[in-house]
Amino acid sequence: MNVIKQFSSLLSTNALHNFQQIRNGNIWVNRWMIRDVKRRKMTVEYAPTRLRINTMRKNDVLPPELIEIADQEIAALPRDSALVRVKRRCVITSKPRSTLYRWRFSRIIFRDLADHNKLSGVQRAIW
Amino acid sequence: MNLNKLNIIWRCSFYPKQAILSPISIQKCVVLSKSTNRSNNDSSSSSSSSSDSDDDIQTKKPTPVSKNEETISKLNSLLQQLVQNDKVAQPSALKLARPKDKRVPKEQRESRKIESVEKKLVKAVNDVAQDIGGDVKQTESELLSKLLSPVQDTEPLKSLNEIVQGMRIERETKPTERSKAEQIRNMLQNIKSTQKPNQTRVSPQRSRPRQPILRDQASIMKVDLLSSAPLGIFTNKDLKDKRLDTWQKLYQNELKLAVTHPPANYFQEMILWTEQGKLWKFPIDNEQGLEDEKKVDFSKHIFLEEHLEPWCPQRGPIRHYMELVCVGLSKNPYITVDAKIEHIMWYKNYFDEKKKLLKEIGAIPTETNKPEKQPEEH
Repeated sequence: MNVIKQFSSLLSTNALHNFQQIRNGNIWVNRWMIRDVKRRKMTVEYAPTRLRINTMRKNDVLPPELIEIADQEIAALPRDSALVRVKRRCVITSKPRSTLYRWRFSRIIFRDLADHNKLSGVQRAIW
Repeated sequence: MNLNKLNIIWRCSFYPKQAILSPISIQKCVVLSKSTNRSNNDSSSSSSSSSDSDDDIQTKKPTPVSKNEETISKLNSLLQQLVQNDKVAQPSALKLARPKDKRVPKEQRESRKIESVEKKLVKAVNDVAQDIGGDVKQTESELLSKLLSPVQDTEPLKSLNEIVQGMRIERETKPTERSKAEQIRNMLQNIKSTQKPNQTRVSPQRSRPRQPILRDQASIMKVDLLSSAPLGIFTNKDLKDKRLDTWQKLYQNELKLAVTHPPANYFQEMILWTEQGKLWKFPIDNEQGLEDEKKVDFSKHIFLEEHLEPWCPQRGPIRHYMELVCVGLSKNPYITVDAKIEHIMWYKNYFDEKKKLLKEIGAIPTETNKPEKQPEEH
């Protein structure tokens, strides 16, 4: 969470340079990111429920009737509550692909920061 | 060529060429050089060659005129060579392609200007005089004196002013070229004039463009909303008291910013983050921020079966499943005891909702089924 807060502050300053108005408090980069944020929130909200129902679904102790019911319940939950729907995006550019998720940057941003020696603890590959 | 000769040549080069070419001047030069050389020799005998030459000249001095002439002829030939060399040194006569010097010399420019103006003036005056007729020369001279005398400078200025005034009037008459600001100003003036009927209209020329403005004026006329009694159409009284929270929030935010100062450097920023709980405090502890959980006993994390006792059936698949859940929870170090209990309670509610169905299936042993079910499961 700490990291996310820091990045959100970073993003807000970054967004100020854009003259185009951005909804959602000038935090997010584009609408795809906003959609992703929505999904993430939903995932967090439904995570315990899904975990509990899924554990019932994926065992051989409970009777099959109950498991069938659990299947139906999982299917009835909103799709966006599934973790699969969450996309790993670059926090700066909102680029969906080639993102180094350990740093949450796209390769381009990562490269730029690394070039300017702004990534502490990252070592150049040597072999 | 010895140094003495060179010295002569160098000295002669200061004279104009005609003087150099004449033998008399050269003689003079030679004499001059001799005297100078002697003085130089007296002061310093640095170079041996120069001293030798000096000796030669000194020996030659008493000799007859024929020898002197020889030297003169030699010198002449030398000087001629020099002149030839000069010619070579002069810029070659080859015509190379070069950009034309477009600059006109300053004096020429000024003179041309003055000339042109004066010429024009004179020509114009001449034309006018010829047009008038009569004594052409007299009128010309009179006109010129009038034009060139500095006393009458003010008169043409006046005429210029008149011209400008005329132009202004013309501009005002054009309605299409008016700017928005002018239109508004005029409108305001009109309103004032209607309020004060005593004022007379300044110019009759303005009457034409006024008509469209009057139409605009009607649309701009002020309407006082609160002057008459309300119609009573809008009965919703809550709208009156409603205020946007945003303004209040912004005001509060502004106040906060006015009081608090941003961190001056990165260290202060880090301190601020630590105080806000964004950074780890030292010494590093993995359970930072879990102060409440430290008071909870270790056994409460592990022995969770006690939470099953009040509701869970003693045997059957549900009991089995819940025991497995408890084992899993007891091995989970990442969540608090409260969260574990909540997890169990969720299952309790879930199975309570499906009690009827579970009984139909036989997952929850009813008291009548109890003896029958036991052997089946084992």
